[in-house]
Amino acid sequence: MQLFPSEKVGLEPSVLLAVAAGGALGSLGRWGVAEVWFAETSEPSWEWPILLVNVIGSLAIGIAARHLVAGTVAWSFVVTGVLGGFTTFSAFAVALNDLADADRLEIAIAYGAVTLVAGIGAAWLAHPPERPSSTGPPSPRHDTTDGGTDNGWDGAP
Amino acid sequence: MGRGTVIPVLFVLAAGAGAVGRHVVGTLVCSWQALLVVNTLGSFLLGVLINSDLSTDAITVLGVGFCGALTTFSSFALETRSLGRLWGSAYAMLTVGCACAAAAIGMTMP
Repeated sequence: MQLFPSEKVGLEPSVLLAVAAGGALGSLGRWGVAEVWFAETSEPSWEWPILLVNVIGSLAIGIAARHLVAGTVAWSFVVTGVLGGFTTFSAFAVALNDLADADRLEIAIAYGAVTLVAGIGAAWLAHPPERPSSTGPPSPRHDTTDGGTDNGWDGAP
Repeated sequence: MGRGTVIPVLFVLAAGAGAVGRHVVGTLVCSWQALLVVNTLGSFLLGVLINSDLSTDAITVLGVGFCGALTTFSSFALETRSLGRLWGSAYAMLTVGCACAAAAIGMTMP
């Protein structure tokens, strides 16, 4: 799906400001989670703070994607900014390397697998992909433009 | 401005810059490519930073702030979910492979 606006829209100052402000907020949240989480050991271990922010952020992005229109300023603030900044891939990749380097390869594999399954699963649960309809014509209520405008299921009678 | 304020201010600026960097790459190429590029690049940079002689504060600003915001897991999860089971699995493996290799290379940089 298209997660970013076109160059023409995306480089407007209002959009860039929304991304920067959201990114700063989300990153402060991630920093905060890492700070309050007292590491009991300096040895490479199961990085709960990174796992926590990534899974919560992935759940939240699924919810946000159902309610916001991709490419708008609100989307850029929440999805690209806040949730993009709250979650991280670099710390995840370094954590996997640290575990592998410390001869904890099985923990590294488990950590990677749990993060991927829980994170992608959370996004999937919060925003299930459209199922291709096998019977009859497609319902007009069923929006096939993935992640676009809401499909009318929420709050619809 | 005391030292206790400087680090959070620098952190906010670095994180904002990281998020904008990711967004700008996203406006140039399609989403899966953009996310693969920023996640790989940010993992490499974080690998370089944590093995450098930089202070803890500098690593907080540049590593946790800039690299953390340049990379993202949530958008990656959303993109992977929309690719379906086969392509999604392949994309997830590709991203983890590239990011981990990049971090490993970064961590061995002098």
